[in-house]
Amino acid sequence: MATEAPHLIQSSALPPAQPAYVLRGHTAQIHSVHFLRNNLRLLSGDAEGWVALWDVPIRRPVAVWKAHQDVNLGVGSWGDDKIITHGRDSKLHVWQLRPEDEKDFSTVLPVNDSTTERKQPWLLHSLTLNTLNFCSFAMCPAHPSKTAMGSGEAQEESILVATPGVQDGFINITSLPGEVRVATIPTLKDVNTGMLMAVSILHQAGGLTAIAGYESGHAAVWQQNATSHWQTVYVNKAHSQPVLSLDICTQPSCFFTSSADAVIARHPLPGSKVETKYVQTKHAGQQALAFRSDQKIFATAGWDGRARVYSTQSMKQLAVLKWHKEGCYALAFAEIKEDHQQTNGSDEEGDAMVKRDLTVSQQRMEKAKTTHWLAAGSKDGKISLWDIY
Amino acid sequence: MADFLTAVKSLRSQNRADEDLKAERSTDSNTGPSNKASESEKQARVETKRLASSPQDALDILRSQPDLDELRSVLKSLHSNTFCPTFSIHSPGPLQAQIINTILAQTVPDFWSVLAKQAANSVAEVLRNVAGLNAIVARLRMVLSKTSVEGGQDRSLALTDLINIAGHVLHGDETLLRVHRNLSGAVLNQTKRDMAWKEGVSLMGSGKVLATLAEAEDAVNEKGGLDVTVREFTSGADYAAWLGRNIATLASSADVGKVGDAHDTVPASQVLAKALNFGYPHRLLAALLEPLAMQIRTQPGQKAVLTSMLCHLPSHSKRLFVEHLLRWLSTIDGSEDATPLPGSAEQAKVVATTASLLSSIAAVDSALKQNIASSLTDPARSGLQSFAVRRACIAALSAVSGDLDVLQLVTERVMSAFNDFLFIAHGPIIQQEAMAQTLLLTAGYLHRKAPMALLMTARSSSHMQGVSNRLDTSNARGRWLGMVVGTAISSLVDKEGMKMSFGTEDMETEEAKWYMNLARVEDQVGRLADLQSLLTTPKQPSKRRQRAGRGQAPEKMLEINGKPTFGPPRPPAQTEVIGEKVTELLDGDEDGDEDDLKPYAQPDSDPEDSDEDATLVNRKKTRPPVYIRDLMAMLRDEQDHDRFQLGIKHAASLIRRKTEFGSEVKDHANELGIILCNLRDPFETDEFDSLKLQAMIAVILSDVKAMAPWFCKQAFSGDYSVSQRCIMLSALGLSGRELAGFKNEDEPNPSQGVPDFPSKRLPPRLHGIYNQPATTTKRLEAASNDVEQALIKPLALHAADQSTAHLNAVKVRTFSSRMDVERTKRKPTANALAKVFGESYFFPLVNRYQQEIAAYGSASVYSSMPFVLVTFVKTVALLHHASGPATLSLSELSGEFWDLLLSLRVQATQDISVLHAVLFSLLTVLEMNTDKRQVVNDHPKRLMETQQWVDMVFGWVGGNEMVSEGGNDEETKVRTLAAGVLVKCREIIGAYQKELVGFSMD
Repeated sequence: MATEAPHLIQSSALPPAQPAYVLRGHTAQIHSVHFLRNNLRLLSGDAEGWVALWDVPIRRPVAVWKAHQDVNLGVGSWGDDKIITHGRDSKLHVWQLRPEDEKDFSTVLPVNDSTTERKQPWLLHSLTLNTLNFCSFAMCPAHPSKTAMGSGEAQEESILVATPGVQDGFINITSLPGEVRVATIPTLKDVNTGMLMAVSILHQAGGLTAIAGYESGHAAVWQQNATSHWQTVYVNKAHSQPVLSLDICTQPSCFFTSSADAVIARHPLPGSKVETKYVQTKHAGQQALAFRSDQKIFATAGWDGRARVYSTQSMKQLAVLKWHKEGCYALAFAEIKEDHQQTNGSDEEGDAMVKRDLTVSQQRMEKAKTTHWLAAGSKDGKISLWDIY
Repeated sequence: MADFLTAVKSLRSQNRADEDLKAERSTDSNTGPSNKASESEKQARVETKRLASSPQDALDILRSQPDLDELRSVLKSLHSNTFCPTFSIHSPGPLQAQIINTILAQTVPDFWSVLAKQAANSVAEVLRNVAGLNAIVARLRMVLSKTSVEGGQDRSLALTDLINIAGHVLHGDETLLRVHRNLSGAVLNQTKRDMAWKEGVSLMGSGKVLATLAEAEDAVNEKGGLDVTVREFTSGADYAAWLGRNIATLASSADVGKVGDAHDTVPASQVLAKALNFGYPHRLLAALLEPLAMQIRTQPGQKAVLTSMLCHLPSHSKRLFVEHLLRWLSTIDGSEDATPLPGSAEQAKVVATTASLLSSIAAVDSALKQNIASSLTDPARSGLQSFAVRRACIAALSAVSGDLDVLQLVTERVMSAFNDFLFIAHGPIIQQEAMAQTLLLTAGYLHRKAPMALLMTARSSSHMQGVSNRLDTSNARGRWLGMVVGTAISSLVDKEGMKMSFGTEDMETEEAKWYMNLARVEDQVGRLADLQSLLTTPKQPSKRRQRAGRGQAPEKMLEINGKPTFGPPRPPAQTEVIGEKVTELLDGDEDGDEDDLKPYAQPDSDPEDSDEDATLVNRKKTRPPVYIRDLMAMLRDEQDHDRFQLGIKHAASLIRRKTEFGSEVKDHANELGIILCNLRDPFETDEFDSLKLQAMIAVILSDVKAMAPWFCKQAFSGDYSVSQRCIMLSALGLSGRELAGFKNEDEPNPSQGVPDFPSKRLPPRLHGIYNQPATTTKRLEAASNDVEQALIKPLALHAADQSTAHLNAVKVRTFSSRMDVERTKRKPTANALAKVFGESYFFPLVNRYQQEIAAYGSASVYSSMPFVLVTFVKTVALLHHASGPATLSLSELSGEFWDLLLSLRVQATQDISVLHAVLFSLLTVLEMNTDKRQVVNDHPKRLMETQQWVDMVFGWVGGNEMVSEGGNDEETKVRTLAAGVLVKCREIIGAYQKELVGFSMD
């Protein structure tokens, strides 16, 4: 750090964050956003069931179709060519959309034409679910050997998908591509939890662990015991309002929940020494909470129209991303490449050599891949892109 | 239906036995086949239904508490003419009256609230005749005459039912037609029928129904029970519109195909004649002509409906009709501005269409033609019509009259009125302009038809004398008009080289050219079929305006990157994050060292939640308006308290900020003005009046030349309340003062030294209500008090100096005589107001005032409400004072204002506040005319009249008692002012005498 240019004044705070770009195209509220294919694509789903796949380097849509007849609850990706969408029309679809197929799809955004039917990608799987709730699906690899993070080689990987069960508060876990029900997790005993609001699954200590956030404000961790029965290993009521979102942090091993009230809570995962901690943010209604892949920071999308970035370690607010005039409902971080750090640290000459070889579009793609994006989707149908830390 | 039946049954179950008996009896008496008494009730009722076979039966059944089925069948037989031809419910007669009375007195209270729509309609059908309507009104009057205490809840219910039934009977555009059809179907005798119809006309065409219904509506406790349709019949304007539509339907139903028998429209014209006297003539005419115009567009033959209806009007009503029609047409053609200089093609089209309507009216008979002609020749009436309507009148007259008599007559009359000496000297300028325009237009028409006739007129002594009268006058505008008319007429009749030409500069202006061209205007009479589009077009702008209000949210803000004024501050050049992006995470101790992530600064606003409880957080924070469109939307918002208040609080500053920035304010100035003029405070905002006033001032100052006359116009038009008008006047006065540089004195809202109120005050809310008019003009009052002080003080000092003349020897310093001071005074410099005072403030205000008084006389608020009059006079005086001695055409302005003040002498003697205002204004006028010699030259008569009158006032106010210190405050002030005026008058006269004979005679 000593080699830094002397004229830059080291102030105690960076200037207020500004969006790098705003993607306009949806007419309805954005309910989910997700980066895929090494941050080259951004998937967004809105409240009318439309899904748009955006080319991040050039910020234009490459495929737009109506995936569901009702509100989109969640979007995700499975490998580089499969897209998962989850809608309130009782469906969870897995679509095949390979990069070479993209040219065949309509790029007319819903804001320009929201009535014409578009060509849909090839439908690989379609699960029928109970969607009389607000809970999005969660997924993890079927085998713990490969982590969820290394998505590059996960092409043929089978996955597990957790979705709300038929009864309120129940969780179903289904394996794909087999479409086999792996487990059904009941709701908490003795507590009226209400609906399941958020769910997450991961492999931990040799077993499958499910984390659930409920309408009552409870958060619970479920694990299979020796007799392969599911039992709670942790229950905590951190919130006075329904849990809206939860996300897992693996180092330290814990998970965070956000809710319709103003509290953000940190909960330990089994076997962790982390203590439960609540932070009163004084901004009620944190609809989405997501960790960046390096787990250094996490962010929330709030109903007050601001996305907030927090430090994982101290749980202190680092940045307020104010641009949207209306509430933010969805949030996603781009994946951070480890090798990017090395490139950055390497000597100038090598860097310049690489740059010279690249064409303009390659440079643009490289930049899009390595930028530390944060995408926030709002009620006004717009998605803002921020370059944060 | 089923639940209705059960409801009725349970209601009168105790009478069931009687009913059975009755059913049996009637069965026995009337029909052969008798039924067994043991048969079920239902069958018995079927029998009675069959048995209401004569009107008397029907009456008996109605009287004997029938059930719903019986009632239905009786009503059906009544209105479907089962008893024809011997009996019809619609013809007048004793039996009918009994039936109707029974229905209203018994059936309606019992059944109305449970009757299904169909049955309700059949009740209405039975009552839809003259007797029925009369009975409803009489019944309402009877119920109303009971006091609410003795009637209680029942009274309110009875009223609600009666109002609703009246609404049912009257509802629709065909009511009159149906009443008339029913009548003519029922009564064959022509005389009887006419009598009955006349009764109906006097009932419906006059305000009887309206007044009764409105009173009843007022008396009803809960408005919830009233149908929506009833509203139409309880508001005068809506009732007039309803009448208009009904007359149109009635008239167009007449078979006008047969030209010979044109009596079919007589009923309609009878109603029209009555309705013209009813008030709200504009609404009536609009509603009458719109459907007719629609029919004419599709079927040109329908024109005969209108003409034959007018033909049957009595002559007095014809005059009224023409008068109201012309006034109404003046309001709809949109070009109401005082100087409609641009004569566009659009206006020509409007004129052509209007002319087509007027020509078909004028063609009906000579009385209507004369009425139209006389509307042109009467200066007062002519001045009230818009230019386009006058043009259309002339075009219509010229098209209709085959011979030249009418045109020549109009020309001569207009000319003699225009050239009249008194009219030149005292007629309001707006009327003089109107007469000049009419004269030039008619002269043009006459010249084209018969050049000789115009030549004769032009050579006549009246014209020659008139032009010289005009050239004589001291009124610059009047003189100019005379020159224009003389030149234009001469250019028509005289040979090349002989033409009159004054060669002065003011004959070369745009306006002069426009006047000269009037003689060449030749309007075509258009097609009557276009009338409909003319009647519907003026509505479009208002629609657009409403839509414009809902602007897009200001989401463009961030896109305007080039403009640093918008959006949050941009980050400085440093965009790269300094420092390592990834560091090791330490497990555990989170409260220890800060991690190395440097936080971003907070954005420009990041408010915390308004409430701890997440369910109570208010997320819809309103932001101050940034655009004028936002502001307008916020001011229109009557639901959201915060939004409205934020809007009104930022209105003035936003408008002022944006005045010089783009054309935002300019584009929306009229719309903003309308919003502000109509603005009421739905939320009891603090300082609402003051905020509104500031916003109005800002709007006026944004474009003085356009907006000041606009506000002047508003202050005299529309349906504004007294306080709204006063606020407009205050805004005009204060904006003028600001323009003249008196801003700082008005800004801090000088405290008036509020005297301690001797007893308790009303609660603040009530105090606000009762004290309202005073608050609306508080600023204006304060300003006028200041000016008054400033005017009086030197006079008082001077007087003190004079009264102590015997001490001159010992005075250390004598006050120098005013004349000496004046000699050394430099010529006053003109301020910004002085340049625009006349055209933007003074003439619009004074002309509108004269027009208002001419049109409404003592009915105008400007003459019936001293408070408004005082505000008006003080506004003009203040503006005059602010504009100062350097005002353009000061002498003309002063003369006009002086005349106005002298015309208020009678009113001033009746109300001391008016007297105060008039004296204050006189003093202002005298003070502003610093050139005393010119005052004496230009206004000798006014000066002498003023001196005499004020002398009288001075003796009369407080004359019978000594004016003591703590005496009547107002009288003291008035006396001081009167003394001031007198001193000023004497000073002027003295100065003149000094000049004339070398010394002052006093």
